[in-house]
Amino acid sequence: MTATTHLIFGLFTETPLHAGGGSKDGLIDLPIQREIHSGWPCVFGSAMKGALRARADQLGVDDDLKVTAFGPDTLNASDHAGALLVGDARLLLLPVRSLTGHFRMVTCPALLRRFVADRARAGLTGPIPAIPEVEQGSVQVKNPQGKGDIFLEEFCFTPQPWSTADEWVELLLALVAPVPGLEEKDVRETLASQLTVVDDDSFSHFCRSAIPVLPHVRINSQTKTVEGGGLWHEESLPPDTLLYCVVAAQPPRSKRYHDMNSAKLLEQACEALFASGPYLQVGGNETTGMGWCRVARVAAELPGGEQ
Amino acid sequence: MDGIPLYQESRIPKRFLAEAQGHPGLWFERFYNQYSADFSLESSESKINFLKTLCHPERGALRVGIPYELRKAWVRQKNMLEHCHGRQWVFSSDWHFVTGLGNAHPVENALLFHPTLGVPYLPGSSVKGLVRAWIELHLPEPEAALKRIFGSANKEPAGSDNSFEAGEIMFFDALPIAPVELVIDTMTPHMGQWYEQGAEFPGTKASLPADWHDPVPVPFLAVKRVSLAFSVAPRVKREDTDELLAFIHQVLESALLHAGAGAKTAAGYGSFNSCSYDAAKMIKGWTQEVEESRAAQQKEARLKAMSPAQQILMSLEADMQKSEMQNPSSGGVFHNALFDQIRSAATEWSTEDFTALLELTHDFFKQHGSKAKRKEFNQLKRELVGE
Repeated sequence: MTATTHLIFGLFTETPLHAGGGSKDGLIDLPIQREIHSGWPCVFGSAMKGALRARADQLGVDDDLKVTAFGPDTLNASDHAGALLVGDARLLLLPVRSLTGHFRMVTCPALLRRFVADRARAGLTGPIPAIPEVEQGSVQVKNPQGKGDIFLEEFCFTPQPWSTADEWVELLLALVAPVPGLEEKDVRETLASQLTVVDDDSFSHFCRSAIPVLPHVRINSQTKTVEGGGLWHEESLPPDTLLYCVVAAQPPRSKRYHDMNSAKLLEQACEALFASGPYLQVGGNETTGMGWCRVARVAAELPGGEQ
Repeated sequence: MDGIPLYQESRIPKRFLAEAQGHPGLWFERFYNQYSADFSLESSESKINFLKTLCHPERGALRVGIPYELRKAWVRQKNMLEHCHGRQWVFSSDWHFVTGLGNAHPVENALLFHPTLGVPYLPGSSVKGLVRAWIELHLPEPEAALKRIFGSANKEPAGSDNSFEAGEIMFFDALPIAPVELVIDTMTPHMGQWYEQGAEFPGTKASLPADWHDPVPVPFLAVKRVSLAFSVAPRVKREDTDELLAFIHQVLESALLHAGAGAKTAAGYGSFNSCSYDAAKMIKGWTQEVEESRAAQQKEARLKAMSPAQQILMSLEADMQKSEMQNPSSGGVFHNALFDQIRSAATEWSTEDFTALLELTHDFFKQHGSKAKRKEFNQLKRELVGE
């Protein structure tokens, strides 16, 4: 039995995030990564690991620690594996535009169920509120009284009370890193008022129709006209999207760190990566400001390293 | 609303903007309700009628954006920029500004709204393009700057030496810092045939660019007044990064003033000048708030890392600075509390912390204590330390 230690990163997007999914998808030239079976947007584990490693490179993290955590470079790849196992960043809350309030943080029972399972996999304990059951055509919110219908994109839903909304707000808030200048109380109240659960099918639809797609043109500066082939459509997750990513650490395999346990390594790696600030750039288009996430770290209360 | 009600079954709030503070971009993009029975667009009247649905029924004008949310977005961007060693400059529009005009929309010209803030904004890619175009056209020898800032001297893959790399600078979305005033504007093209057919059928009456054509009024939505926060940060930090950022500031300023941002710049749209007085004042206040909050957070973190004894020491030190505590008569209670603290600390605290407390009190009584108190203190000290 290997003694692994787990951690969940909460990723709250500060700028639009475009983790490119490769080939053209319908009208969209540059679609984002999605889970094939559900169509939910995600960021593949390989992209997440790359983002973490790139950050380590940029911060000038000690080479031995980098190799221990992420594995040796390509030429020495056969030496040993890296100690960190980085999972996909999975969607948890999607901001969807509304005619009642600017936007709502939308999720669905299937996403919440999976999050609960991932929490358990990461060894996180603590009470888990019940997963809401949502009928088609209705949504569950904290305070449905007096609000009338709720409009998400061009769809109209009947609001119903969500008895465990407050518990869910607490659970989700742990994944949102604080920002100096924003009161924790305000952040909590905003999330509580925006949190909305829709049924799984509606959510799948929003994952297609409510994701911003921006046209881009490449203009020739001399002629000030569009260059041939210089028009493309690019999809990106909007700011205020909440994703999470399970990271596991195995006992280090490199020489210098082989005495260290996985919990200690994970702690050191996180310290090296995030001591200067809870930010991480994920996905493409870095030079147009995209992909910046605020990172919160949620660990099991008792480190599971030594069992 | 004589045409086909596209959303007949839905119960759309009539004055959603005024009452429910809905997302104007969502309404603008998805709720066009002026098609006639055969789904044609009857006249420019119907387009204006739709644009008017975005206006506040009483005030007639349209302001979009929630001050509180825009401040929050600014605070978040500010913190992120500081982490990336970035810079931000606010510019205010001189006149109308349009962004995303070319996107598809039933009124022919769209306007780009931010997905969560519900205000028009300028995407980072547009800011990057604006800066690049200005450098390409107005710098005598732009190659080195282009290569460094954008990663390639030529935008065209075929025209470059194939040494493409990522540029050194990140250009973030330029976001409004306060609610934005919108206005219904009109363009009146009347030489459409010339643009459409001039090259194919030159010289015919219809395709000549002349005065005898009828103007076609096309209403569209424009931004009347806005202050945008432009943010850039180095992707790679070097020794002379500050100079590079100062250079970009200079280029951005010139480009915004002379070339303009967004669409229709040749017609005077999108010209920005230095930050307006009100905007500058607001930003100054916000900056102060963020700095205070950060200082408070750091203090709290320091406190958390301290032992209980060190925490008491710190709060005593703060109290000693207060003038009412220094006055022997009004501070009497405090003086006596100090003696109690020393007595309990003698048994409970570590030697190091206890010595620190003794030194602190010694200095305090030396400066502010009465003769009797000084004597009392020295006696207590002898008793506890045994000197």
